[in-house]
Amino acid sequence: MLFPTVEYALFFILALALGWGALGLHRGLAPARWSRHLGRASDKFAHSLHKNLLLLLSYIFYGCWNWRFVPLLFAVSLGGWLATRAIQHYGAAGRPRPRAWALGLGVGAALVLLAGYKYSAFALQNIASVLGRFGYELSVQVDTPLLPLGISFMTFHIISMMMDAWRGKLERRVPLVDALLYVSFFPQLIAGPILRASTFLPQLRRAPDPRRIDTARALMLIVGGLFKKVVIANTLSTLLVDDVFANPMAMSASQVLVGIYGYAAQIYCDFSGYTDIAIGCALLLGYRFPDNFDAPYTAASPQEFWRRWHISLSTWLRDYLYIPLGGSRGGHWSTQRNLMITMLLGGLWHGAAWSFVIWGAWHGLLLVAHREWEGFWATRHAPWRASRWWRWCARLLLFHAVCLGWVFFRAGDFGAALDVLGRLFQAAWAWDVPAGAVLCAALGIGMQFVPPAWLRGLELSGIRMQPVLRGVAFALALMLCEVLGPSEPAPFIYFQF
Amino acid sequence: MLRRHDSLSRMALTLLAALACGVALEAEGIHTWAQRLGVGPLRERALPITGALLEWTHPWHGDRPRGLLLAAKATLAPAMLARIDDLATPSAPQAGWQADARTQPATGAQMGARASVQTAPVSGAPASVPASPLAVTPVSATTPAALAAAGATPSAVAIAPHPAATDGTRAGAEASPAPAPAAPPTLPAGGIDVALAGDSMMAVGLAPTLKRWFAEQKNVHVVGAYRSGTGLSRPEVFDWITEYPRMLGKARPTVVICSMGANDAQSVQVGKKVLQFDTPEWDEFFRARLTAYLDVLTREKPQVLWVGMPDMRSPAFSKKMGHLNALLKTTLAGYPNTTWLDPHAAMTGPRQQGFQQFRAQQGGKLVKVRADDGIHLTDDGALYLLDPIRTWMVGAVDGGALHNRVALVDPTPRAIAPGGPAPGGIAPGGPAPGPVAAIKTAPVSQ
Repeated sequence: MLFPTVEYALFFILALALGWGALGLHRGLAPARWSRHLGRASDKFAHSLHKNLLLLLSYIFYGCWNWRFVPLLFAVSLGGWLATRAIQHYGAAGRPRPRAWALGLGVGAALVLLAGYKYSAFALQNIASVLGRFGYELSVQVDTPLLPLGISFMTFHIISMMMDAWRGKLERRVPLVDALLYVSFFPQLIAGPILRASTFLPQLRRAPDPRRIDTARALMLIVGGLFKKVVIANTLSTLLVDDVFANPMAMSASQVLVGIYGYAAQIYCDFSGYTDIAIGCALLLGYRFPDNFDAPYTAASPQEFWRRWHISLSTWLRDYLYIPLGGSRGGHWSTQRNLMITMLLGGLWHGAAWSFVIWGAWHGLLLVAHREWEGFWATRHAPWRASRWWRWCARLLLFHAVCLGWVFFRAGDFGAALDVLGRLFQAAWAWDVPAGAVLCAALGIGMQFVPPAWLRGLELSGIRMQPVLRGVAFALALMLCEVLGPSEPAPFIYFQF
Repeated sequence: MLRRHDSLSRMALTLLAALACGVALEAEGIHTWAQRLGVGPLRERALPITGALLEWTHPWHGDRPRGLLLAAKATLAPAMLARIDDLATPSAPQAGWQADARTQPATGAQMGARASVQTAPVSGAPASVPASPLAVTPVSATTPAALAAAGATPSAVAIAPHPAATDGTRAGAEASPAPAPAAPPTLPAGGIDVALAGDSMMAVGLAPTLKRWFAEQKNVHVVGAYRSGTGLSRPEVFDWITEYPRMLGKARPTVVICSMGANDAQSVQVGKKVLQFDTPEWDEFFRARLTAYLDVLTREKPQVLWVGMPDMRSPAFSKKMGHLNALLKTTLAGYPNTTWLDPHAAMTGPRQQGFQQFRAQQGGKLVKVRADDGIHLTDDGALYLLDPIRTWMVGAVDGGALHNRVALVDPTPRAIAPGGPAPGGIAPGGPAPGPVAAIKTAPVSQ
């Protein structure tokens, strides 16, 4: 069930009605005299009903893709909850050893599951290749199991829950339904944003406040996300990017160049569009998700880029991988090593292929090189480096470095990426790029340079609008997205991860 | 004071207004969505509701804004929504090094590439003879024994040209008379148009691989006439019979390679009657649809290669595809100039097993030939079909009026197997000595 579909719209309307309906049963819908008598017990019951309904709806949402994996989703969440409770229990009992065992077993089991589904065939492929070089032929029948949708995200969620329990960030014992809903909550289930247990579980302790719904912001995020996904990302993919990466040897240099820029715009609009819709839907249900993108192509350094791109992943990797590895506490070279390891594993997290490892390594190198550069220039030419033109040069340079990484990310293998890049130097330059693709690429990249004040102004005007007028404007914007986009819905790029 | 947050009632009012307005504006879109649903109870319930909605909005022009926007989009489409394929015309190709050579002086690298295409040493294969060790077995599609024989031969590929193709008469003409050609077939002055048609079985894996190979050819212009998520059995979702000519535009392909069927194994609704898949009624319906499509496909008398459905991971789905393959094969037998390619042997190799996601190459390297969904081909998997297709192309091009118009060359070593030796049955074992191995060096008409 993709977000930009009628099916999801119907499903979400049902979720809204049931979610808020359950909470309003004892207050708004039940007669006043009943409410008085029901009191606090009914509040608890309504809240519990609300969460259980959202959980059921989340399983239905996941089951629409493949019912066979709903038990797996339940088992993963249950396993994570058991380990979390064990960590909390042994922590309270002052028994560090079994507590460490609980964490180790929980995280280990989550990683083994992820590796089994996602990396087993890749590992066997590489083992066979290495053995083949030494003259041994591996006679095995390899078959990748069907990858459960969003398995990487659910694994990261349960690891976050266990680690936050280990670090004492969870204030009280996690109820089962909260843990299950935290992992399975449908707006973020398939492709994030990755929620932190320490920030989301407290939201589940209290019922969403029906007097504090950020409707204007939610609708703006949903419309903006749909525009980015349906109009910009899908159009770019259809008009240019897929053709360029499928067959670079038939493209002119200008088509390849705009195709690379187009992919940079496409992946941003695709993924940030998805998370904007997810955040908007959660807001309407009364929950807050963290921002996942903050105009990443305006970044002027690799560090800044990773503070703006897929923020929930980069902060997850920082807190649960980079810092446990030692972070920047162990001196210069160990910091650089930790950065490289984090980015390599971050690349591999995206998929079981060497192209993703190369992409991760490239970003690791950028981070390492930039740290060296910063160290070298720390005391030199400070006024220059603070100037606007320097920042624009840095932005331009970084954007192209990021685009270079995207070529490896998208091309599938090293040779194909070199084919794409080679065309920039071998092929002719001509004005033969589809105009719609140029416009969409410019929009997708240019929209990140829109001053935040403009967006706040737009949101404020949404807040000031009368509800009916706001609803009509929302409907018109949805229609515009539907008409302007290509006819067939395309899956989100990050679904595969 | 500005209130940033809404109450539940204000949010409900906003969403109800959006719902009412959205339903009115999008009545037609919603009805189209209902029509495209899979045949079943949901569709049965949704269609009357969305139909009534459409009838309700139509008199007071509720759907007019959407219609106006769609009209504006259609007006702007040629300028703004043209794909690369649309921009390319045979007389002024924009892509590939051929275009480069015409538009500007070639760089050293380009000249080298061109020279390699025309004069590269033949990699151990006689000119105009397929370099592959594959046994190309011409068998009649209607002869099960011959098919079985072909299938029993390790690494054999069942390519079945139509028996009538040689004498030019059309067998099975009673199925549906082909419409008279709208215009005489016109060959582009510089080469041939090749149309790639089909659903995602063409769009994923096969089309990118074929396009890469064609990009290395002389004077071959590719028209991408494929659309994922479509099929012949659901014209209300996508009507190939009317859409295919539109997808071709002005191109008049002389060669068509088609792979379609993965979405067709589903029940259909004809009027009020539901035809279940794999029943005689469904078969009859599908055969009629296929015949109508083939009539359109062969209107300009191109050479057609239909790539059948490979084995799927799910045995149940694989069985359905087997049934569909049988229907496709027998229907194709009624058309001259059509050839059936059974991908099974080429995909599974000498072991002749069913579905295989990975195949071992020489040297032990495992290559992923099928996507993780267990349905589509990967680019590497499509390479296993490249050799039979190339073999067929050589025959198709040679046998018709296309002689001397194109020079087909082997794929480059990288195209065969990135980073490793070629798989058995696809290309001569071991890396090719030159960057491009010319198997046919017919003069190019330029």
